[in-house]
Amino acid sequence: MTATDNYSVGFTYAVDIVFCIDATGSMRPVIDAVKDNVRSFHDLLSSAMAEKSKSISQLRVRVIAFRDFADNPDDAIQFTDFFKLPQQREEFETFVSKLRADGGGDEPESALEALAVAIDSKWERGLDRRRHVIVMFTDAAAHPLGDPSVRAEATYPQAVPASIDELFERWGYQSSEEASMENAAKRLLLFAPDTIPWNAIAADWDNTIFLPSRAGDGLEDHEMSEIINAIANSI
Amino acid sequence: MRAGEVINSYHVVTEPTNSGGGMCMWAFAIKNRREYFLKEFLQPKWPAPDSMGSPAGKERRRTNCYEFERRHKEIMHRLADATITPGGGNLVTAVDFFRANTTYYKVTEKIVTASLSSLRALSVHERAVIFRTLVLSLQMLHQQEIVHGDLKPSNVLIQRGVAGLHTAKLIDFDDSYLSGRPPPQDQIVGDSIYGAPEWFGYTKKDSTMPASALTRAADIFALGLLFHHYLTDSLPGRASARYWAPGQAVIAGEQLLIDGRLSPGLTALLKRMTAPQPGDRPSVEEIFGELEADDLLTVRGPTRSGRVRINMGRPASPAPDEELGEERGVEPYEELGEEPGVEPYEELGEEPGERGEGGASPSRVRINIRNKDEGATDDSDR
Repeated sequence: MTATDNYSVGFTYAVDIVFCIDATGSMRPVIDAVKDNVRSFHDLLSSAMAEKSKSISQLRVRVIAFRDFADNPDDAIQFTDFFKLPQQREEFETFVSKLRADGGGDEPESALEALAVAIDSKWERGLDRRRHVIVMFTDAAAHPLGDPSVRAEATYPQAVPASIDELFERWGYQSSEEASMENAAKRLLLFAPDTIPWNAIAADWDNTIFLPSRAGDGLEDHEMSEIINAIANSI
Repeated sequence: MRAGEVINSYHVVTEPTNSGGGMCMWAFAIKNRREYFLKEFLQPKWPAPDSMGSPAGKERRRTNCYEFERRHKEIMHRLADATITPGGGNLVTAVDFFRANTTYYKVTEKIVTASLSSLRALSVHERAVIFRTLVLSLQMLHQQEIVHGDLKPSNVLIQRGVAGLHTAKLIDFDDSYLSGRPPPQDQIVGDSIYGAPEWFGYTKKDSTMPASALTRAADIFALGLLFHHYLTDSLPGRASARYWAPGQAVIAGEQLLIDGRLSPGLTALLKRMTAPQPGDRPSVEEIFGELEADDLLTVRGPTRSGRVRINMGRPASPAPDEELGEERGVEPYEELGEEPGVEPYEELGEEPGERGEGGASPSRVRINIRNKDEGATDDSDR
């Protein structure tokens, strides 16, 4: 292949977005807003990218909905593979439409488990440039990792490490030898309260944008545009 | 960073945003009753004693941070030299660079921009002044062997001076690098729309485009695109729709289509500036020489949209949905003078005198990489 052949297809840009969504009862307004906007998500994101004169060659999305393993391990986590958009828009919408906000028990939820599953995603490794974006929506603190009784549950994902230190190493940093994430590609957007562990993650983790959430009060339309812009700006 | 937070005496007064992209959040801040632009870097993060991660990992992260500091300080030192030379006042360089806890920040003065309804309202001579000040600013950089690395309209601010003439100020040197020594391929940034062919090649890990291929000529390519944009409100055309950036098209062997309303002299210059091979592009000195002729910048007939958009600078308050390039209202021009109560940071260069209108920017740059909470020894020379 000549140098010219190599560029005949232009510069290709892959974007993978994983949504981690707290599906406990207090998040009903957020879940409803996500359902209302899922149909237009691809178009909204494409418009935001076009305004920045950027063109995505391949867009994939994945959803991880979580509650609380300590409260009810049977419905503590549900997740999809990546959906290609717009080709698999209907499957994406079908999954989102079935999300329900209930349960949760005490305030900390199993958000770190969801984050671990997100980090363990089958990220796109090809094309010329990649963006691997994790978006966390929650209105609560998170249970620490490593509780043996919780880890013994049959439904507990095997990918989840036993401590937040191990999770941090998987998130990684430049020159990391243990990272699961590609350092230049990764972005973490936290729509979460200003509590542990979120403020600690924002302090220590590279490429993390912390937007203390007003989640639980419902996501207004203008907030959805802020979310879309925050995602588009980080791509 | 949050609105209302005080970071190293900078009081954040606007909602931080990542608008404009890049690996940072930014906001406006006030310190000692002066307004600044405060940038928070999203990486690297300094490992505090109680930070997550293993001891070995923390040692690697500290090494990364020292390299980050070294690279930024090297550029800042060279820029400080550039700003004290005639014409260097149009480089908007950092006035502070520090770490607070785990996070790095950089501070520049808040730039006040002027209102301009259209470039068409300017005479050819006035346009030429803007172009010449832009090229002079780039020359200051290039004389220091610095590649700006992210030349685009939003990094060129147009300011109205005392005599009523508009000049161009160059901003944002955080992605700059020394000529031939860019960051690793997976770390190099820059707006791909203005990317040179060799930038695309380097990013694609093309073996014929090693690091040494990324030189000041990459800025010349972007500058050519900027000139075309300022005069026609568009980038050069491409024969194939598959390429969404001129540099992509050029490296694939296509020729760019220069707007036919531009003068023959400028058309020839732009073709040279956007040549596929970096070595075939003119230097900033040659370009400045070409700009001696005002009529180079004449444009025949009306522009396509009837109005030429140029970036008028950052808004006073960040509005993520606001389009760059729209008009701004006239804001009060701020004088910079001496700051009272200078803290024990590393000082570079001469102490500035009063900054008069239209005068050169202060050459002083404060770099403090001590964590004020740690009270450790100054390691800013590392």
